[in-house]
Amino acid sequence: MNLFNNLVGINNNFKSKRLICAWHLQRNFASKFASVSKQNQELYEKILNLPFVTMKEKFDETIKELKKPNVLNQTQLQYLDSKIQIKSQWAKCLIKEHFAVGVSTTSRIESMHHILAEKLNSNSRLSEVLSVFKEIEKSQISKFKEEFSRHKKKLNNQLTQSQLTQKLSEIYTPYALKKLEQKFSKCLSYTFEQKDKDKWLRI
Amino acid sequence: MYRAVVIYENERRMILIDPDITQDLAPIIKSLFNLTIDIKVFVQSLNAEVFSTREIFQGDDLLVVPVQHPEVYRAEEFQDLPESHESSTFIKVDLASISNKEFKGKTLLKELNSWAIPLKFELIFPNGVSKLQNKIRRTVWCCVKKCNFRLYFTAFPEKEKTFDELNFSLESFKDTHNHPLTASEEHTFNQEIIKEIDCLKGKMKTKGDLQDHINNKYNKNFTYSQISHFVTKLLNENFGMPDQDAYEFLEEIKKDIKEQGGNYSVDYDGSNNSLKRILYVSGTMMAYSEKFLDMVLVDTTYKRNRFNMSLVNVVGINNYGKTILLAFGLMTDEKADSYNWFFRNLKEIWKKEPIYFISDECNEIINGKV
Repeated sequence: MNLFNNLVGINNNFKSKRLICAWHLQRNFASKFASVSKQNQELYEKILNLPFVTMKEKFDETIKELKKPNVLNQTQLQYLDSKIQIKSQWAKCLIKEHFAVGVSTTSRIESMHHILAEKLNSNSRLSEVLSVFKEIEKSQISKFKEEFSRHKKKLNNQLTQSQLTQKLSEIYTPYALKKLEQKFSKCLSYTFEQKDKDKWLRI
Repeated sequence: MYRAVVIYENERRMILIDPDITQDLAPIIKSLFNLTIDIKVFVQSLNAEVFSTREIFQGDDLLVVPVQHPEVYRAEEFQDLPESHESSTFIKVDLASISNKEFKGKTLLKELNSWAIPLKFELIFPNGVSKLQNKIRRTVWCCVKKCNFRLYFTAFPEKEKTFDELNFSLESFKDTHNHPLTASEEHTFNQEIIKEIDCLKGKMKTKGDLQDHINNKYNKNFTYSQISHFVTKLLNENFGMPDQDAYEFLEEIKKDIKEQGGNYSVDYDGSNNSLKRILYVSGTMMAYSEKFLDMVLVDTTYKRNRFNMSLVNVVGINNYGKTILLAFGLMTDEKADSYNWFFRNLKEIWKKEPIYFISDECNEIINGKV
């Protein structure tokens, strides 16, 4: 029960919405619905994709398919129902309607754990823990600074001379502008040709 | 109380068998365990703790009961070990300096070793205490395998006194080694081994693995207790005593907050230096938390310090999509109460609520209750 205690802590003290890590849920699905894979491999893959599907229609479709008779047994159905009740906490198709920084898993924190694991072990002192956190903080800040200085240099190409980017540069920081330019130049580099009446070809 | 039989084998392995078994069963036991040497069987009454390996062997009328108890009774009338070493190297030791002395049970081995190590050998207790008719006997062996050197210490038992408090004195002995006396060099840690242990101590899975590794690499036979004792000694030398650790940690945090801002809250008992749980938010973390509380990830890791405290990590995402640290905490347990404490204080320090929390476990039951 230890694992769930952190939820109690959050729910008791914060009113903010709580999301569930989609990757962990996917693993739970994989173990709970393992029996489906023998009968219908396609459906099993659809179940695993449920937390990451971006289309609402597809999400509803697979749930309809699952709820057909003779697909799931009683306990599996109960489990599925309980998850669907709280689908706004994990389904990507619902989360993406709000601003969630494009994140629906805890993979970022797992990567942070990996960094900690390289520097700390079960023999390290408490003050070492503090110094490692300080170190990570410092290296992050120096990384940011280094990146900003790199992107501050103005490039004189066609894009920077365009009126659009000049106007945008008043609003955005150089770093954000650089990222925007990259995407902008990418979409400019495509050319299209008309083959037939309704057919377009991308080059 | 278990009635049990003690069997001794050549390699000093001990098997205790339950219940009423007589001498007649010796040949059967012998065939069961594929023993090649003659075995002697002694019936003793045992106050033993039975543990899970009970299921190793469960015949119709035999039950093997391995025993784990500090005071395992050991029958001392034990066949002499074969002398595999060359018999030409018999070395006698003069016992005059310890023969008339009395030793406390607790410091017996320490005092004996302080006498023995200058004479270039080391002593161990292979087993617990044996009970004679009206005396208690403790046997000290030479640490080299198959050496015949023994010292038998006896004491009269007294009521309400443990073995550690009794006064032991030398009764009988076998004072010849069958090997050259180089034990002190073989069984002490030289600089190379100390370096090896120092760099491997936290990285091996168990201390047993470390023992195997060292013994294989340097051709030594260190016992498990020697290695584990040395590891704790090194830890204390390098890092200071555990009590000091929490105090120093707190002082560093206080100093850091004075210089660079930030905040912390702690559950700390100053009278015995025990740190229960702590939450720390540094100056930069505070600055981040004012602006980037859209998405907050929470998770815990383990085995990241020497006190087995679980580390709660709180992480956010800034305006450039980069991961940033928002807070961290250490807790001795993971009860709901501790998490409640953690998040309550976190809210007080942040003075703000994030829009979203992501955590890894999903339990709608608790979610429904609260």
